[in-house]
Amino acid sequence: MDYLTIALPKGRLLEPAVEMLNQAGVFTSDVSDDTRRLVFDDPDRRSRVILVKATDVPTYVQYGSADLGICGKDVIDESRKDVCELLDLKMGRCRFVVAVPASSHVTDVSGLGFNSRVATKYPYVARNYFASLGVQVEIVTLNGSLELAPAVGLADAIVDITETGRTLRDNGLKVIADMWTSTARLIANRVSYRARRSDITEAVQRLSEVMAGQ
Amino acid sequence: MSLRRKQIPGGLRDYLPEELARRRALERRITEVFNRWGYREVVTPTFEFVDVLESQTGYALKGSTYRFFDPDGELVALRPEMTTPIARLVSTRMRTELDPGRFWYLANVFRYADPEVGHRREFYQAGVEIIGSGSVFADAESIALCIDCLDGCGLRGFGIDIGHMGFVNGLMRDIGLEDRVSSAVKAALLRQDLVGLKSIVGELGLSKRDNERLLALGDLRGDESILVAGADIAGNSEQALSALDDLKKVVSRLRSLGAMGPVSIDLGLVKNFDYYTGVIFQGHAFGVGYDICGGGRYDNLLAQFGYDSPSTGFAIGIERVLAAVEQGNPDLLNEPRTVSGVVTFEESLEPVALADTKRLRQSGIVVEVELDARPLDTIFERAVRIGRSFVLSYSRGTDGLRCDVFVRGENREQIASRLREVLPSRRFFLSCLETDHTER
Repeated sequence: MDYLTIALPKGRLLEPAVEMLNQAGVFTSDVSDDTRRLVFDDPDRRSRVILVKATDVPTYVQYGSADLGICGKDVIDESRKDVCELLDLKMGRCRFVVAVPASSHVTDVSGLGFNSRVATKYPYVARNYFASLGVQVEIVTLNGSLELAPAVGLADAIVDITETGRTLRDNGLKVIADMWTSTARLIANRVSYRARRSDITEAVQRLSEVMAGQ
Repeated sequence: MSLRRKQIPGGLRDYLPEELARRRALERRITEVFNRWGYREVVTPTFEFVDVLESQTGYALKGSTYRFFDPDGELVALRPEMTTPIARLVSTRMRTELDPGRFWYLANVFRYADPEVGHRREFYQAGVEIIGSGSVFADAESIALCIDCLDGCGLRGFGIDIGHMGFVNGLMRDIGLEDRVSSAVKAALLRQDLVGLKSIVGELGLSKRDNERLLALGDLRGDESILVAGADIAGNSEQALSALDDLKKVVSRLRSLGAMGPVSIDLGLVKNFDYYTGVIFQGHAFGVGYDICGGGRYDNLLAQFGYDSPSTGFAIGIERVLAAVEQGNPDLLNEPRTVSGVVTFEESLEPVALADTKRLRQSGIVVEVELDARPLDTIFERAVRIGRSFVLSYSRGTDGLRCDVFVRGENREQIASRLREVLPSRRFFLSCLETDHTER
């Protein structure tokens, strides 16, 4: 049988994800994103970890280059990729929020003026959110340093994820809406989930046990 | 001309001769199986009235048909799938020929999809419809035929999951879910979003038992023994129990047909078209990240066209099966090369050369005619490059007509004797068509 390939995101989720896979005995070798290595094999468990950019995890999984993946719900929703969500890993918790400058008189989303500009790294999620509330805004897509956008007049508000809200406060922003909470998910390729059902079910089972023990 | 004019829209593709030859070989293998099972081919128009095409395809295709106004002012659309057009065709034009009607098609279908998400906007489907039989044996036949096609393509290591709309629907009705919730549960099952399913079910405030029954839908997959586990959670739902009964009969029939090998039962299986009513199935193959085929029973679709007739069928995604077959064995679909060559001649010998060409073609040999009277070296180089096995050159020698045959490959003698057989009155001067003569 081929190796079970798991796509993991470089960055803050990597360490807890690897620890969880180690504890569950799904993948027991070390993984580190300090080196240039991107592929890590565990010949005993016949599993393989590949390291990819967080936003690319759903892509590797959808196309079947990885059977499983771990990434945030925020990334899954924004990517619109067709993958199965098998397990809420309850880690990497962060909130999707709408924030405006602390000095602004706006206190909720409906207070945003007609055609306000909203800066975000998540244009798809943001557009859907405002559309569901019937609020017309213009979405500006940025790739980082969102906090800056209101300060320099690029946007009236931002949609971003935050763990504690502290970075937002430090940058003179206030939260006017909690959209939803994102956590890390175990995702699977649709066909792998069928073709390798027993391997994957066993991995899900073991990961659930690790979570229950925590 | 701008660069844009040299491109094609995203999600579409061209086929070059060699790729297309492999696709055609695959299509031939599939349609030969259809014919062997007694199915007959039908063709429907590429576009039809929107009202017909969108009558019951459901949310999967909402907003994804290519619609346009034709010059009469009628709103029409490119067909997004073939089942509805065939249901329309049969119910309006072929009612007397049923009991049951077995039809096959091979057609391109069109769906507006985001190419970013990896879906094509035009793709090819081969499929069948059995119209006018409500028997579960028709469902079993359709599944076994599908498996026979995939086997016939040389595909190895594929799997087929079988389920039943009546099981999922019956269970949800028994628990008393509102339509809105049922749709959400089905959507989560369709995406195989188990986290989403858990969260939807968790918010309903159901009894622990009903909670477990719904969550089990995400998990009830395996061999036949799943039918027993299914009976446990079906409770008193007659619809769910009768679905299990149908599946039992299908399994037993598939076993007799020798087609149970790749089959699993998945009681949580749902499909993305609203017209499905009974047994449903889909197939997957190693190395292809998408379903490769799917189908099921659609008993109410023909009633939309004024002819109430139970029906079932399936479609195979040609490009996806092609990818899966080539992944397993890249050469499987390469057809053996036929004898083929190029004829070139001096202008005055045109009548002789072309009369010979006609006879060669009639005998089944592939012949191209040199159009630009280029030097032999150029013709040889090209012939070798595109895989021709001989070049036949007519010239006027000192003692009249001279026919030089330059042959390539190991079976030179065979090719030469084949040419002598077809053109017995010609005297051939045989040489080798490879680098050695081009140096000469």
